[in-house]
Amino acid sequence: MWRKSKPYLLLLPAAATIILLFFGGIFDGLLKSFGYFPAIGETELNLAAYDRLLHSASFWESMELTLRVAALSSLLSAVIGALIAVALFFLNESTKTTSPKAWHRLFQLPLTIPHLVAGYIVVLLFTQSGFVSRILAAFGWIDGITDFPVLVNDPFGWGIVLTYAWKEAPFVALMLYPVLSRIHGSWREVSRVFGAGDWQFIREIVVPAIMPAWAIATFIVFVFTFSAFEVPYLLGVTYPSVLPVYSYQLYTSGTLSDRPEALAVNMILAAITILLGLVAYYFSKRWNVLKGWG
Amino acid sequence: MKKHPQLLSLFAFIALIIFVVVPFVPLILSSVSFSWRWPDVLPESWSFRAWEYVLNDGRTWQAVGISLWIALIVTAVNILLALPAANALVRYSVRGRWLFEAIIFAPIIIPPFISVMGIHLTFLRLGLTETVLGVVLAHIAPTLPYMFRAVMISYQTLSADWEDQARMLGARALPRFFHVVLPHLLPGILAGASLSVLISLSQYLITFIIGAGQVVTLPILLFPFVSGGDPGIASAYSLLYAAIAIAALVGMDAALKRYYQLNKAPQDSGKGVKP
Amino acid sequence: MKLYPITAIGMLALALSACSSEEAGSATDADSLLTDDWGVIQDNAQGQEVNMYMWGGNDNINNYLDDWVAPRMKEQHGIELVRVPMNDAQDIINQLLDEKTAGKTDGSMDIVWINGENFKAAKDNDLLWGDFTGQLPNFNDYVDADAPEVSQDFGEPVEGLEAPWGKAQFVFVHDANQHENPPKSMTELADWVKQNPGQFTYPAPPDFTGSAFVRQVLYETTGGHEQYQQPAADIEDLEERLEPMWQYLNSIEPYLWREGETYPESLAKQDQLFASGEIGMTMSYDPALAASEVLKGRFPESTRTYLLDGGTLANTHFLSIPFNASDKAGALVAINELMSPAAQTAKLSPENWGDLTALDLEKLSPEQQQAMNEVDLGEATLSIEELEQNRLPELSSDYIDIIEKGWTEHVAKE
Repeated sequence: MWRKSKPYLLLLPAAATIILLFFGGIFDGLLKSFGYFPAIGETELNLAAYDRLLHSASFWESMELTLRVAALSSLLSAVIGALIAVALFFLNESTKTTSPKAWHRLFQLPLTIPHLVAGYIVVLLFTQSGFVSRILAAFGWIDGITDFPVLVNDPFGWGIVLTYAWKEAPFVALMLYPVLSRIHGSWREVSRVFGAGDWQFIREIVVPAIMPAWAIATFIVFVFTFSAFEVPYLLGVTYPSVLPVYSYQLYTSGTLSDRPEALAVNMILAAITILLGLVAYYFSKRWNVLKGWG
Repeated sequence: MKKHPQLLSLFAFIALIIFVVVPFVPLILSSVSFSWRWPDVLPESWSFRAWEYVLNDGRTWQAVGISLWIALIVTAVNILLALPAANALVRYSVRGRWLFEAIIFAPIIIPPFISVMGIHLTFLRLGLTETVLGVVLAHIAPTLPYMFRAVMISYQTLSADWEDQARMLGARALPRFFHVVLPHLLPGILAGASLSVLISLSQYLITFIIGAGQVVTLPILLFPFVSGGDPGIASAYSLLYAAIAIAALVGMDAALKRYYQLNKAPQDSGKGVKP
Repeated sequence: MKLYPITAIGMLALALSACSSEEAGSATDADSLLTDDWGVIQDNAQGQEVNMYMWGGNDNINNYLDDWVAPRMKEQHGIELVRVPMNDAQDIINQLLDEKTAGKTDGSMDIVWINGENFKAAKDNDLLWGDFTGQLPNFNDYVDADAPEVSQDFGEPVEGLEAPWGKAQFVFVHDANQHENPPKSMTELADWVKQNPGQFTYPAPPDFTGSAFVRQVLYETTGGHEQYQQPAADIEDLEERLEPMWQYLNSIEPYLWREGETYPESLAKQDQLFASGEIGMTMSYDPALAASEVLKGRFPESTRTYLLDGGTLANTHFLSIPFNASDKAGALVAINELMSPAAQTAKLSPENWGDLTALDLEKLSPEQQQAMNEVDLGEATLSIEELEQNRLPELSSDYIDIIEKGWTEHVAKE
């Protein structure tokens, strides 16, 4: 009996902690989104908050903004991440004596920098009076402050996209690099034997090989940026705001009756991330990508 | 592809430098500037005012201490929770394995603030808000999955034969664990610990909601400055914050290396004749 | 190996941090402090740790409290004054609201720095302790309790629930080197922005200062402030009366920074634009802010402040004690100390803060008056007389909500 139940007992602390703290919190939020507030005497469940939410224009604008920002962030970090992986690859190629560790550590730097700092770096770089603008002015490419485009605290969300591109590109590179490093060597030799040129090699061998890892990594970045709070809070505008910030604004509006709506936003957000997570899981299992990740 | 390796390497090197290093330049410059208006690329006058403020303020070091302390406790708790759980999932046949995995990995998918906003008022009633304990509890969910995954991967590479051999040689359960299993798991635990510390250090919203002004970690101290306050001080705090994060990681890495060095010596000395 | 000790330490740490969180609140007989003698209050206050929750976005104010006030509090009264910075006074109200709903009687907030709509929200929801200002010697000695700016906070009767700490007046800030003749009225501003496109903007309401700017516009474009000195609900044609204001704001919008497509999220962000030279003007409720920023090197030395010809909004900001404060005696003594002539004079200097006094100058002794007059307010700050002669009263907070929502509808979404 002990034998049989031993694994479950071992699992109990971790699982129970997550269930109590994490899922308990989600359930708590779910109840409150249905208007369940025993502290002020509301014990009936209703869908009023969801109704208000789905009919409010600002919710849908938030949704649109969030989707846009997440899509652009993931695409940009996918491209840059691939470039970084390739760059690292070349560096390793040519400097076989130096240990690859130095480069690896260096380009992983953005991963260790906290999000708020990364956001602030983007502020310093890309405001109209920021560092990049001053360098352009020094080269004479722009004349006045207003010639520099608006990239920070902008309604489109560029500031947020740039921050995530910087921070998440190394993550994509980290997932691509192992695949890339396994490709070279013998594969290239073999393909040469069959008469394949450089471009053909890249197109027909390299790209399909990295595609699964690349797609998964991009997807993970998408899910993450879709539901992140700190960077949009710092670099976005008050209206429209991404969904997590929108929820926070409702939660802290000072009007207690906004709380169910705030938590309803959270529940919708949770449902979307669960859905996306399942999709990612399905494809990763199918393409057998995540084994040995990290 | 091998035609111009040097050129491409140089290009790759420069591109990496630009991408990783250049963003830090305005951060450093602004932290030591006195007045820096457009279009000066370099500040027109320099000053350590910002650093003096940051480094002399007791609050700064309090925040550093609390941030690291919370990260430490959270990581320790994570290790205690993850070790048995990973052991169970890897070494035993468990019915409903997918369910346990889904439960433990859920916080990676569902953003933790959703849970924290939901549980906020309950924590308030339980007296957990404004306490370090409350913040620690809130930090466990976002960090545990990473520790669990890292330890699980380590367990997967641990062959059961080693433990069997040890048992056959007469070792009992606990010493077996400490001398055979744990050393093997250590790199995995460290990887998980690094992530756990990093994620805990970078939490803003959930610490803000639960801590409610009484638990002030570095990101909470930093936020008012980066959202429009004095840029010099914001930069100084940012650099300090980044440095602490990096130092924590480097520290753990170094500790692991030291551990291996210390534990290698006795084995070597037992090797016998030197060539 | 090292696992056992780590476990033990971890458990101990968790247990300790749980224990040290809240002291058992002895708030039951605190209400007697509302009528006790000052001596009794001072005795009770000894050794208490008073948490002061306030906006933490200005390091001058922070330094004034940490370096000037707190040591004196400790020496003279045995009180440990702990400043707790918040991003927004709204967060204070939210937390008190939550604590009230949850029935938390031993709160961490002992003193809160609030005014305006936050005060009204707090008062409406019974979040404040009670009528305490009458207990404070400095209040009774130096403050004119009947003056409208002390007895009313944005039109809401104070009723002793909060004590005046300082005064604020709306001023405009500009770089005299860049623009010598700044606009002194809204009509002049409309011309000025056309001649200097992209140089002017205002923080988006509901930012405190941005909202004040919009109210300034209201006064000047709709025929003055007198008509609004009654509850908003009593004015039937309020919509029509507000119309000229929206028209004005929309008419200047294309000439603002970023052509009015976005507005700075907060005053702090706007000040940053001014500091880096992106815009030529900013504004503030703190008449001496410019002077202290010049001292820090953040604003150029040629920065100057000015008022509109028609006067600008002025108000008093207050300190209050929440219903569930754990150290009420300490709070009373601390607030009293903050209202002392010595503390108010120190507060007046831009080196510390630059905030105007809430005390009635006529009630001070000649030496105390002289000490105040001798404070160097800095080149950028206007004289106290000039400020006082051009004060306009604030609207009551029910208008503020209407105006802030209206701004989002009529201006932001256009």
